[in-house]
Amino acid sequence: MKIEEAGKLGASQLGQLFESLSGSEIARFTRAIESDRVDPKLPLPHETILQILRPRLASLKPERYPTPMRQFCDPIEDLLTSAMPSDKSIRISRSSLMPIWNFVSSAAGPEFQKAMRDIEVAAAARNADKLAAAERTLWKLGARCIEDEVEASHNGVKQERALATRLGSRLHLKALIEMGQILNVGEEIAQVRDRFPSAPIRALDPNDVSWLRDRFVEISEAKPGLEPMFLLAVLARLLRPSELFKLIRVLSNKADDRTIEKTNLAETGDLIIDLLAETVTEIEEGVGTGKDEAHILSLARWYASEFTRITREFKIRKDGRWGEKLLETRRRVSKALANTMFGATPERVIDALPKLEVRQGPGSGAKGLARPIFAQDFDDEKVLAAEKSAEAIAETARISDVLAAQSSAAKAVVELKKKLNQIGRAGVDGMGRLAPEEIPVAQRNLMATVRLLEIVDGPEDADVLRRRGMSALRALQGQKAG
Amino acid sequence: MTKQKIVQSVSHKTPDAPQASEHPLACLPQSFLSRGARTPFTSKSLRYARVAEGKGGRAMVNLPGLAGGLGTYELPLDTLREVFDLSVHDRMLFDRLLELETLRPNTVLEQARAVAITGVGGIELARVNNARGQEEKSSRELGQLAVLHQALLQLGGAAVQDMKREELLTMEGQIRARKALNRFSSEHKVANDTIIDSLGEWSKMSAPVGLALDGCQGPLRVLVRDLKKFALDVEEWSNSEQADFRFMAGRISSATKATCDHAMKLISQVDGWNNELGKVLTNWERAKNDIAKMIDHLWWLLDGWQELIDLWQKRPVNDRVRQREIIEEVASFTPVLPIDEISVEEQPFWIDVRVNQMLWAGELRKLGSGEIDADMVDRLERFRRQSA
Repeated sequence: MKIEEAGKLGASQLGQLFESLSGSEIARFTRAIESDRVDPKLPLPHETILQILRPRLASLKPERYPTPMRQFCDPIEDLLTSAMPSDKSIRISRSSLMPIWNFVSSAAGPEFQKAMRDIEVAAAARNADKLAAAERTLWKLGARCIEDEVEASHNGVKQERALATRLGSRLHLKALIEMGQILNVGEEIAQVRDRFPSAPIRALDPNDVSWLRDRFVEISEAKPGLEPMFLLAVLARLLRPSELFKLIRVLSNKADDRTIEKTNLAETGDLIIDLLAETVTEIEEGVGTGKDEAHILSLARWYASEFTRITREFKIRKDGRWGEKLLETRRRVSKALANTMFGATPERVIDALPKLEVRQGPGSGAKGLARPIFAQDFDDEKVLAAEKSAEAIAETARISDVLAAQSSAAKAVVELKKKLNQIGRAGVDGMGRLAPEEIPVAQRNLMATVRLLEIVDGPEDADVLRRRGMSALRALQGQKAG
Repeated sequence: MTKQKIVQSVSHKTPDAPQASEHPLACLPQSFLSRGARTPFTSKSLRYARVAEGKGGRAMVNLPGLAGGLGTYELPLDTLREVFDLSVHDRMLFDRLLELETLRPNTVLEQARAVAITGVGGIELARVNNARGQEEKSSRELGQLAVLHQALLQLGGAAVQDMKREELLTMEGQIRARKALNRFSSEHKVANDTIIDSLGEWSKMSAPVGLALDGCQGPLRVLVRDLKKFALDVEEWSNSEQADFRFMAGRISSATKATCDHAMKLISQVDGWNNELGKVLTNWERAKNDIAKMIDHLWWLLDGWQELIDLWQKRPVNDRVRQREIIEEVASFTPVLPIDEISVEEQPFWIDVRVNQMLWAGELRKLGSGEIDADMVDRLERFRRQSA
């Protein structure tokens, strides 16, 4: 398709067309649209087209056409979030980008305008060196402009209000300040991005750590005071925030966190623990809103591994700066899990299996005996949910020492095992009284019990139950056949 | 470690590393039989295990990248219970495997499916296996009718060209079909009943591939179709990745396409027979022999791919990190084609795939997957000493 024809199509037709294009065709098409948007030569609804392309671009992530705004925001890319960040969060909302860009590009003066034009020229010529030089100028001038404006706004309420008005909302003030600080180390962040092109960074090896240490030392000499901003940017690019403690350990000559407040790394350590606290809040919210156990488990697992990594990297003391905060997060996790995972969930597991107390009545076995419990209906949806819950309980119990939840975990697991064994025993004992047509459902109930028992208690007892049950069923089938 | 050193240090069959040949080809399995049939154990340590017939006919189990190790561990199948803590599902499967006379992908799959549908490995596993079993059954049944219909169109002459497949389900349609096939049977001196029987047997034998008609596609044909899509998907996914993952995904995509090419050749041979059912009937013994070989070959060729496609299809849409982990896993365990199957020109490509797999297995270990505990290391070592 020719790009000119895109303007003649409606939104749904465009959507259909994009569905049929391959990844590389989409990438080429996007680049052409974005290039024309900068210097329009065709009467195209660029924004509408890009809006339709967006979901596909989110999964394809093709290289995007460099525009002044995109290059300006590059250093903060890892910090962006689509949600509204909390007051303590290090994240910057995507919704703040356009207001900040509009504000800076109109306030920063002619040199900034020239750098913008340089970016457009370099982008059109695909000149990477010129592009890099122009974006560095853009960051430097942008940072200075933001600093000056923020400084001026501190002169009084009126000035502060005026700044908020120019930004469109007070909501963007925090993001503006953070962005100004980050842009000051934009060049160093660009170096980090070059060294670690795949975001997020999965792990830092010793070479990476010493390379980052060198950059940190350079910044503390050339731009004192901005080191935490550099670390913040590195932190945002890491898959696991705790990895940064490797760098903190190298940079700090302290053996534990009791004296860490005297170093300039304290703030960064605080940030990492604040990030961990955000996970804890998510766990609490998950518990509150009744999210499934698998989701809570993944958060708890993440928390436990981060907790272990931090305490392994650095000696955290109970009375140290980070120790208190860290232990507080653990108390919160422990409490949340005791209430849910180890509280209500075991009941849900048992509920999916046949009930032990069955009312006698029509359809019950001969001579007044209760109907065999494994003849009860089998609900595979319920059993599937029970399997997931049991897996969550078992796995959380395995990491309960890190989560300081051993006693509630042990209690829940023991209780669950006891009930599953009871059901299994009663089920197998009653098999002799099954009617032939009840054999298939009894086998499904047996296997579900075996599976759940295996999840919480391992394969040994579960296999014994399976063998007992299967031989009872075989004997029954033999009898009926005979 | 250089590529050459890796090739030298890793034979397809560790743990006897010192005996490993220094030839680069030594990192590839010699044949499909030595590569073994994929066995879907659920215990974590046994992931991507394959069972194969070893020397002297003893069944062996091959464990690639155990605990992130390079190469493939090979243990006698009957020692599996002593070395690993098997899940209940795996104990059931193990018992059945010991009884099997021939360890081939289709026979192993049949046993694995029978275990899975009991629910002992969980509801999800049971559901997937049930659904696949049902699909295969219905394509087999419809395929039987379709083969008969095709035979009628090919051999029955002008009088039956208007006949629809559904008409064969009616008494009237069956009479008409028999009449139409009479001419062919008398010309070739084959009894009409024999023709119907042979076509029935043919459709059963070719059912794993089936026909290229809606609802009649057998599981192997469907798998090849899915493989093609998988190769494109992975390639598209890798476009936005940096060099390391793009390379890894590129290897997966190329290996998938290469496997597909081999499979397509066999499928067109099956289709060739299906397009000339007259030849099938007149060369019945040869055709029977041929189709059995082709289907068996395809089972071996495509063995192990289904689960990789399933893994990729279940990837979380927005979690790029998890997607990369999946790519890493798929790349590390992509089934490599054996020396017997590939041409000399293809050898460097598959050696390269296998050598890179060994490097990636190390990466997987860093991620903590496939871990084994100290106790199991001890048991493995004990086994090695005993068998030395």
